[in-house]
Amino acid sequence: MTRDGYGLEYRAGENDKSETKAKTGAMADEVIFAPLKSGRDLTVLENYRQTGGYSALEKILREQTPPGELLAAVKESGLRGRGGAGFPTGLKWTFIPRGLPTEVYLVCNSDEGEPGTFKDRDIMRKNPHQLIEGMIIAAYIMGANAGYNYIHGEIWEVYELMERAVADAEAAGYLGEDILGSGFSFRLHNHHGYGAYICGEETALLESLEGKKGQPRFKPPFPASYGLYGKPTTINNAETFACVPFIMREGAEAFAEMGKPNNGGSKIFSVSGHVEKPGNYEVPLGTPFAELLQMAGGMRNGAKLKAVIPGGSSVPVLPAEVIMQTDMDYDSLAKAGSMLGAGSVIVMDESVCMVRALMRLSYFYYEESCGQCTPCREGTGWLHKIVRRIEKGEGREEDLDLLVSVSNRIDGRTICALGAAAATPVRSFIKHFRGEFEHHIRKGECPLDKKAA
Amino acid sequence: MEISLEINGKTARAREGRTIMEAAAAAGVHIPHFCWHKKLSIAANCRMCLVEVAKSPKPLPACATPVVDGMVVRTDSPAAKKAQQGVMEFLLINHPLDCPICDQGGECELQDLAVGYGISRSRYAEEKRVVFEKQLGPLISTDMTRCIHCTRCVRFGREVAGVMELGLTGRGEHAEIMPFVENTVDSELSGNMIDVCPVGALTSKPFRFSARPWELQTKPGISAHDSWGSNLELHCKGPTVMRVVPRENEEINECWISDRDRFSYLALDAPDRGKSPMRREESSHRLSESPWATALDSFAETIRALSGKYGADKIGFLASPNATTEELFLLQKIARGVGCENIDHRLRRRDFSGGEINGYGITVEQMRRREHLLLVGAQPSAELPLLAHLLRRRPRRLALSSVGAAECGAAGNHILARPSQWSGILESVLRAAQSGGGEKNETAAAAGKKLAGKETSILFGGGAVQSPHYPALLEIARAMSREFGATLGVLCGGANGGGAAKTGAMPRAGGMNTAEMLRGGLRAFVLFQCEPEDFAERALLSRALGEAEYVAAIGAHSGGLRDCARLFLPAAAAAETEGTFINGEGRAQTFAAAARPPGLAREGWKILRVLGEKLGLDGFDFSTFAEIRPQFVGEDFYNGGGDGAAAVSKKKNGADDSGGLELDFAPANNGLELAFAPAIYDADMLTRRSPALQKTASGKNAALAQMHPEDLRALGAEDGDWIRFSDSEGGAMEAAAKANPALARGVLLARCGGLFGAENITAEKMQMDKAASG
Amino acid sequence: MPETPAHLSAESLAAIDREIAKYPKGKKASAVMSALRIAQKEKGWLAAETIAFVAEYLQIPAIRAMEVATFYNMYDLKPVGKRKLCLCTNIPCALMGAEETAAALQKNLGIKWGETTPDGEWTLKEGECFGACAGAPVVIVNNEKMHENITAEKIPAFLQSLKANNGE
Repeated sequence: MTRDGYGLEYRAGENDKSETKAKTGAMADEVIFAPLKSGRDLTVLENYRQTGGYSALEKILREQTPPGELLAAVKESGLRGRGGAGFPTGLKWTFIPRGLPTEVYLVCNSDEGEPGTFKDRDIMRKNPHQLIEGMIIAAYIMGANAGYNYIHGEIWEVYELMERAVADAEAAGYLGEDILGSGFSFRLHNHHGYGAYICGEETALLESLEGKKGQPRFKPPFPASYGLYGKPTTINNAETFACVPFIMREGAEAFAEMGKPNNGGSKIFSVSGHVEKPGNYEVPLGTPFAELLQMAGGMRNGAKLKAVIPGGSSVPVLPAEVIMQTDMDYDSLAKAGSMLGAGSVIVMDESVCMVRALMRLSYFYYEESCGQCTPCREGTGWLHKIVRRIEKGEGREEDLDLLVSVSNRIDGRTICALGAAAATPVRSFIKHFRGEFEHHIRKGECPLDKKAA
Repeated sequence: MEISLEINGKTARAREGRTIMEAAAAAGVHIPHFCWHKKLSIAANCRMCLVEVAKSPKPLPACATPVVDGMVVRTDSPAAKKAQQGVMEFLLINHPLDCPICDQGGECELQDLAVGYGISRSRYAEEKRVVFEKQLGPLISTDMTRCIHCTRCVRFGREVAGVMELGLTGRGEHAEIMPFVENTVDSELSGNMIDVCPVGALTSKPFRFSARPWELQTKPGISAHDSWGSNLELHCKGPTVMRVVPRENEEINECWISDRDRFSYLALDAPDRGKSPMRREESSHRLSESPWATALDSFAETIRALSGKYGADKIGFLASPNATTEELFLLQKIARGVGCENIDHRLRRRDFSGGEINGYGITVEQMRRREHLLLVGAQPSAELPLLAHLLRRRPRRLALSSVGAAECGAAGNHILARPSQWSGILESVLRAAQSGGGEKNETAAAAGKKLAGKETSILFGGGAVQSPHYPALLEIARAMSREFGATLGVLCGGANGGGAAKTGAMPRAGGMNTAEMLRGGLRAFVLFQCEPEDFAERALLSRALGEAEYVAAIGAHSGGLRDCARLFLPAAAAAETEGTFINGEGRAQTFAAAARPPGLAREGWKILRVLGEKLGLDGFDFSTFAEIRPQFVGEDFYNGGGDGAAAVSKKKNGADDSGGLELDFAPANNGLELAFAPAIYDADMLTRRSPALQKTASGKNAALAQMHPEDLRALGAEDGDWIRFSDSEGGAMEAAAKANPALARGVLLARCGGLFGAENITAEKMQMDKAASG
Repeated sequence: MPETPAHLSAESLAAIDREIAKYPKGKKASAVMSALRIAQKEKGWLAAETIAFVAEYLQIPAIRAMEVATFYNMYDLKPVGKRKLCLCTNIPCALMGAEETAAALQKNLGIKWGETTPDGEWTLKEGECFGACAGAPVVIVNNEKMHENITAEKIPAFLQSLKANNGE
């Protein structure tokens, strides 16, 4: 392998959006993917530096900027957690106790496994050093001297790439003891998952990092007081950390202004499913869905849009007529009855059987439930078995009410959010596409099969 | 700090940091639960304890939610009930609902709560989960389809038993409780898993299908196996003990008991259980049944005749330290009544020259708080399983022994050495403590530094007390006591070492102790509830009994004495008699009989009363148990934990226990030394005869000669090979070998059957054909 | 540790040691996921003895390592073929034809999910979201190499190239 790159093939067109930009007039790739516009291979540390990379960190360490000032900037930027919950990042970072004689850990959640989500993979394989720089700055702010980047096990090549990127950053003096002579030390290590969706839940991730099954912890205590190895710990999504160098370099205001009030900055949307150009699109929060769809090349083969899951498989599905009127930001999507989640946009055209789609989703949650708490362990299997029965044409009249009732008995009664995540698709699919489910139950067949025939 | 909250409309107070579950319990409000257990870490996984908390959008688990001031909790509101009923439905959808054939039926937490929270009809119409059974060994039965995944058993193993033998493997609906591959559950506290399991997934194998809970009568009892004094509940059907479970006593055993406390009842109907008096005529070679009257008369006549012929000082009385205080009182009264001072209960002891310590010197509660415990020659996991539990929870302990750290509950603070090396090491430790370091032996120096200036208790285990070096060890310990106020105690005194000492079941001036009796050319022996396996010098005892003219045995089982006894009087075991045990703390606990002795067997105190009467002695003309105690109870009888209780409190230093002290002193080249660690299920007549305990891994190991793998290799032997051991005094024994890497080099851990000496033992691998024929 | 068939090679142990070094002193257990992965790579799959070996190496109870090995689904607790193909069939992949890909794989190899061909060449597994949905349908070969846009019609050529390139 040559040192001038990691030999990754870039999907043509994904970062060349001049065409769509011209069409939509939207801003794209301003924060995390901005350096890619240079056309350089940013997995090479020097290339990243030449696009302004590590300059924010160097300045902070040179000037010994008080962490409080930096924290204020993060707050001011309006940055909210990009992993799905959307919790204000600056506020989260204030929870870490300062001045205690104890170790503080920084953890990056790159365990991206929510169906429809694939942005962290692209951040890491296309611009790994921006994530590393963001983590170092965050560590400086919170006084953490050790950090771990927990990477989804299935993207093994990216894990290996990150191992090299961390080694390169260490060799360049950005990681390790006494970084750039500042007296500040931070060691960063990559840790891989190995096939468990639940480890994307932050406390399950911590358990996994400790070498255990990824079973979420009951909160409180929260990781800020009792995290990795029982020490105060901050966990953020890879995209969240990767925004930090931009905020430091360009200013909190520049970041905040990019989006809408309370929805600051840009967001990477992972668009998958029935579009012409599936891929990651980094756009300002608040971009209308219609524009995003256009960026992604519109519907595949000009098909008609049926429904969109706008934030990953765990958020409510929205029918075409609703999503086409909605802007892609935290508040607008909440108003429309769904959630921004991790910005994972799954687009479905009219050929999709919603019963079959729900069957696959309910199987996913059944398969990925950690098995620790009763409602989720027992309920996800129950849900899946009922939906499977309906799909096979063996549904019963009372099944839809039962599905909603079982979903309600799981939701909100489990240790972590997987229970709610399993319940949400069931309820939203039935809510918006009840007729399709009833057809399966009453006729014992799929209306789409008939159409096709 | 106390805070105030509202539970179901009533104001309650609770300490900050308490959970809703605890606060509610204190306020008399029961919240349904499965995974929560007051002695285990919080899992919050069953979700049965969901309650409504004002301002929380979701119901919260009472077991894991800390109370805050002004909190408003409803455990019985429609929202709370709805959440609880929802969880109950989920628990039952995959449960087999096979209560009629489930051993837990009638005492099942799931069954009880399902009655209160379940609905009568199931909405679940899909196929149910089936989970295969697991083979966990001779003590625990499984029906894993019934498991509700509360993980109490897993947490019990990890947190109480100190060894993670069960885990929850897989995930989601496929999650299962299981051991690693086909491992059994072998911890000495494993039976408690049966109790913590809230459903019928883990049940008692020996008890299986033998009775329903509502047929059982519950009787209180006290453990007869060790000095801890664990409180028991004996469950009886008519006159028979059907099972034993813990009786909670926070000051002693909390809610746990050892497996031998739980399963030794199976020995009550062992094949050699004495059900009738037996005598052997001069001319005969075997014991034959005899009426009580004849048997009692013959005892009195023979004792009188032998005293006349040889003098009463040619008789020896040996009693188990697990006999009741009342029995021991009457036995010594008989001995002294006939003019004999030769009486002892300290059967596992070789050298008595160093003087006497009785009991722990401190209470169990003090043990929990003590700054430092120095364990010498102890193997708590085998000798005192609940002490092992206590040690696992406190970091500050140092152990010196010939078996590994894990067995001593002292990982990382442990010196592994042969018994003959212990006094030298202790001396170094003492010197280091005196000089604050500077000792050239680094290990001893570190140990000494740890102990210096600390509130320390020195506790001797069986390995020390049985060793020929015990007097030397005692001397150094006394110096430590003088130097920095350490208290002294012994752990291995038996269930009633305290009672035995206080009633005088040991020789006064002019009398012989156990060691002297075995060597004293005595003409007659009276053995009370003991057999050769109970003695440190078992071979010597067998020789002495063989050479005596008369051996009378009073006990629950005849087995070990069948060959030499002239008279056998069948007595009640601990579960079958009333009595008092005084444990290592000096705590007296009186108990009633739970079961009836079988056949013609009678309570020990009754037998001794008649014997005393037949011998024409004074003070035996009482008729009830209650009349015995006033004879021996003085002002001070039940007080105090021995001589060391007055502790010297010193300034607290920051304890530093980070450094491990694992060390294997180089072996000396003069043969093997006996390790003197009694096997856990070879402790007494009952454990030895419990089939379930004997089938456990520890039970099977007891018959083997365990040595360090290197020592075994040096003999050219491996596991399963037969080894012949011999000593310089003409003793010899043969046993199958087992490598045990936890042992010190040069040590032999075995039932020392035919050996007279404790050191300079030579070993030789036996030829296969010879072994096969032997 | 004694030499047994479960003993790992010096290279594997060195790799495990590098992983252990990532975690604070006394937190060796954190390396269990890596250690099991390294062991699996050497042995092809995780036999109980291998798991026990790893547990002993990391000084954790064997059952705890077993919990981990059974919790994460990229560990193979049964022998697998020379090439293990794991196809994601979750929604984004299904929308792009993963069901057809699945059918084509099963037909071409003559095995179902979780099975291995009798010649020990191929194993098929159904996967959950790999986090690369833009390239749906996605196949991972031997846990490490990701292949994107594997639609049904590409299967014969795809299998051929894997055979030719030894899984790469």
